[in-house]
Amino acid sequence: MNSYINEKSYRKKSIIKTVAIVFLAVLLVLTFFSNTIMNYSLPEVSAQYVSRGTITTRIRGSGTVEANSNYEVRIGQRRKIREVLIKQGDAVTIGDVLFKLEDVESEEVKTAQQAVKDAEKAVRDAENAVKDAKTAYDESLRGVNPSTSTAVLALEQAKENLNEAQKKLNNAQAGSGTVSAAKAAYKAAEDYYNDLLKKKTKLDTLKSTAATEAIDEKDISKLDIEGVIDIAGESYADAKSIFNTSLETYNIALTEQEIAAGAAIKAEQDLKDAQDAKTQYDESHTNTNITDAQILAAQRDLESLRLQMKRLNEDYAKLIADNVLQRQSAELAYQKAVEEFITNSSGFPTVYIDAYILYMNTTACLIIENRQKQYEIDYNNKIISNTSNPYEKQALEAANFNLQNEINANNISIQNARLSFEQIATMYNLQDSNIDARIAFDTAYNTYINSLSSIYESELSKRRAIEDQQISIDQKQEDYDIMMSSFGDARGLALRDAVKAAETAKNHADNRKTESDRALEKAKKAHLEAGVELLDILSDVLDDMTDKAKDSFDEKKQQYDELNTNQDIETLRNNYNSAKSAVLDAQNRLYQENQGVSKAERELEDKKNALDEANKDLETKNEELEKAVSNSTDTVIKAPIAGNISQVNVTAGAETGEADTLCTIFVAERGYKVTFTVTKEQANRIHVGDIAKAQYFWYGECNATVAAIKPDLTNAQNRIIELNVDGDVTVGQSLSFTLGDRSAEYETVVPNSAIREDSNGKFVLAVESKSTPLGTRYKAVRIDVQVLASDDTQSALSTSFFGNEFIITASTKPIKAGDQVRLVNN
Amino acid sequence: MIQYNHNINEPLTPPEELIRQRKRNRAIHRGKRIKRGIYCAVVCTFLFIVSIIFLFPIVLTITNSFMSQTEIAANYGKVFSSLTGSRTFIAEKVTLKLIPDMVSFSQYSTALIKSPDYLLKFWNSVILVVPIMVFQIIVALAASYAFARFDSKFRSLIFFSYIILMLMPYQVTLVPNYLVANWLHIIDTRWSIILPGIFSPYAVFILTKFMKRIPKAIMEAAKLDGCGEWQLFTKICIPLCRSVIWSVAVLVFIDYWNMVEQPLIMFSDQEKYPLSVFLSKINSEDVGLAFAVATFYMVPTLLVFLYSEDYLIEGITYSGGIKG
Repeated sequence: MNSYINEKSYRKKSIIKTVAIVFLAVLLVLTFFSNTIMNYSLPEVSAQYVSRGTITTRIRGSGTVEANSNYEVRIGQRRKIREVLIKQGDAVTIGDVLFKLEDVESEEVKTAQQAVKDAEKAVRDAENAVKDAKTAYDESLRGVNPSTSTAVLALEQAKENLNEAQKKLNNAQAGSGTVSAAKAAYKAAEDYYNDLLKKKTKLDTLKSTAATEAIDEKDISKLDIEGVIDIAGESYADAKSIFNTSLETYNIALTEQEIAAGAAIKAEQDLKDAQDAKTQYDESHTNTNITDAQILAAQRDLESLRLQMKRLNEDYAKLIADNVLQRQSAELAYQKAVEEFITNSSGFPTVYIDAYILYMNTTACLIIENRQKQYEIDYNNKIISNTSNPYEKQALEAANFNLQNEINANNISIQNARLSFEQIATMYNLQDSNIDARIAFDTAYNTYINSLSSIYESELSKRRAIEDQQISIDQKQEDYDIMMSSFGDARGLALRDAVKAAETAKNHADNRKTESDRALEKAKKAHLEAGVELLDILSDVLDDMTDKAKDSFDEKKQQYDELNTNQDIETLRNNYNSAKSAVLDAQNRLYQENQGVSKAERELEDKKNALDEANKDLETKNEELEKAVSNSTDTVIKAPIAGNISQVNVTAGAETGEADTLCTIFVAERGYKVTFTVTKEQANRIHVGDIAKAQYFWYGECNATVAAIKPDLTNAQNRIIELNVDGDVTVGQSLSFTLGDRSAEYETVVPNSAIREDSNGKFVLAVESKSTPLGTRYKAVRIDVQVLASDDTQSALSTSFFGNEFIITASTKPIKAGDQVRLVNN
Repeated sequence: MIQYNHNINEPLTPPEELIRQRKRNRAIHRGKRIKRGIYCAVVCTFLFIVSIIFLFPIVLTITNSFMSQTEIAANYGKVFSSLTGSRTFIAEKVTLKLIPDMVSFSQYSTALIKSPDYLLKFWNSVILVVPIMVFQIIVALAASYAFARFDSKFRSLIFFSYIILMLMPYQVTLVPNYLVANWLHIIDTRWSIILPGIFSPYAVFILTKFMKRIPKAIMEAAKLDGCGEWQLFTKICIPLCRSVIWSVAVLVFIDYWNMVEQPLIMFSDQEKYPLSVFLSKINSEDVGLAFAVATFYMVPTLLVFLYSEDYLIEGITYSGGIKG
């Protein structure tokens, strides 16, 4: 049982294993081949890169040929057409018969004739009416007695009163001349006084400002006080000259102050520039810690060292000079001592004396030499003890060693000389001989040695001092050179000098400015005072004039008032007007009495007027009749101009109205036109005078130019292009034109087939590739664009591309953004 | 022939008594049979209903995978109309159909032939799951051997922490996993999923429990025979744990075959997504395709289960503590 179950289980597992392997193998195969299979179902697209190109934009339009100039044939009257002799398209010349009319008068003439008859009748009636009115007037006149009428008497009385009032008024007006004159004088005086007051006010205002602000000629001339100035006379002239002088001085001081201020500013700027240059230079050099003081100190030290050196040299020279004398004197003394010794030791053997002298001379030289060397050894030891330089120490020790050796050699020589002498002394048995001469000679010998030694020592010490000083100088010079080399070269020094010079210049400029400010203040003060003085003079004079003017004004006013109170012209005028009114009233009353006469007279007048009007009306009507007769046409209507018949609006038997157009003749000489509509953007590219090319015109020649660009009243976004057309065209022909051929270069040009459009606008589809384990896949991606220009085959886009976009131009199936595509096989 | 259990030392029962006894027994048996039958019927009905409920989605998936897109939209469009907004569908209500009106292989051809996307996603799933499964078992075997065999002061503490980690849902350790993966610069790579998967505590727990049950006598006997630790591990423990290893492998396979959160979070490149992610993001246009993809997506799981069914049951049994 268990084996059966195991076997069953084993078989099941093997089946499952097989199924799993097959399943995975199938999936694997499908995975590898699915991309290939998928590609067959994908839409195939052709694409190309975005490129630069030239777009020649064209604007197209088509319209119907019309005549530029049309003539509408009208007859201006109502007639009946009998015959139409033309048809559309016929060419006519001047005088050609177009229509034939019925041979009857026109309605207008008939109407005019009737109107004339009515007007004549009206004239006759009006004449009759005038006759009747005249008769009535004459009858009315017989019933009136003008001499007894109260109205007449009243009228006469009123006329008398009127005459009287007029007389009084005339008299009053004759006398008013004096009052007028007085009034005029009073007014003039018042004006003059007011004028002077205004001038005084202005002068006072100017005076108040003159204390603080300088005035000039213009301010005085603005016051308009030439008369015052004339009256002021010499005092004003004097004050004016002082004022002018002060003004001149003030201007000069002002000019100087401006110059000084400018110079100060410039000096300050120069100083700043110099300081900036120096600072910049300092910053560019390493050792900026060194100050000018340090440099000066170093230079001073160097100078003092050199001075000391100079002194030392002088001292040394002096010492040398002294030592020469001393040496000479010591040698002389020694020589003398030697001679004395020779003299004083004449009893001794010559050999002994010579040997002794030789011995002494030799030893003297050697001892002196030893002492010199010893001095040098001592000096070297001093240096050795003070120096830390091992090489120097070593050198000096070596020198000391040599010197010591030399000293030792000298000592040996001295000893040898002594031995030689002692041999000789022994030979003569004169050893240890203390002869006086020898003692003296020894003393002179020692003196000589000591002298020379001290001379040498002094020279040596001086020389050493000079050497030390030289070393110090050299060291100082070296330090100074190092300092100066790090501090800067001549340029740094030059900049420093420049800063100093700039500071000096600035100080001068500041001083000058201060002085000029002071001078300006002073000049201004003097000028202000002169101005005030001048104005005071004018003010005094003007005050006098004002007072006088016021007195005059008061006097004249008084005179006028006195003259004006006795007469009252207004009252007299009023009386006159009243009298006049009374006369009119009287006339009216008289008229009332004579009403009947007047009425008849009026009626007569009215009738006469009516007759005149009727006559005028008749004249008018006659004129109209003449006009209607003259306008009436014959039975034929002829062509007034040459051209082609474009339209015939009537037919035989029709009645025409006054304003009806019978036919339209277009004047071929005036040319043709074509109009069509374009968009505003297109219209912006067209100009009047541009040449348009006719498309699909094979019948002959056709030339067109843009005559006008007009707004489209029906659509504000459009424009109407009007072309002047000539050539082998006819009215009514439909033509297509292109214009605005302009080429421009664009960065991004694609074929028109690449541009698509939807509700969101225009766009193109670009191919985007993506690598996958099973190969490259292509997808269409949307790029929104704007079309700048286009022609028949391609368009320029506004969107900036990177240059590597592969734009889809065509596809085997409709595609949209996001769809997977495959590229067309090459 | 009826056999009686008759004792030789007892007297024989007379024949009439035997016949009466026989009749009584028959009645009793008949009653029992009836009861058993009713019981069986009830249980079977219940099981049938439950099995239908459980099997219905799978059957629906498989049968609907043979429907065309139009038929899918007609039947289920209402469900997805809320997702797509104002789109309207033919049917006013959802229709669950098991038998297609017209059998169509268009969904399979789209999934398997026309587009390699789904196949690539399938292989992404395989590439992720197989290494996790293999290496997790290897690591878990070693860890569980250590837990089972070696005594240590901290063994309990560490094992307890394993249990705690095992009980935590993935979302709890998501952020630390992401931070560590980012620190290791393996975000958007397959290692960000494979590495955490390898070191999962679940397999360790299962294997440890089983290894602890291996009798120590076997170990000691092997040791006496001269086996070292490695030989003990490879030649004794692993063969004995074969069933548990299979069961762990199957469970791990099922767990990671269906993972969704890890790829969504760790991968930004959609080309690396497994098929489980695609199935979790079905939209209204992909319903038919989802049926087809789900059908061939469940095949590996089914095959794995069928192949290792015996081991799975055996492994779960052993890990449940019932000794065989």
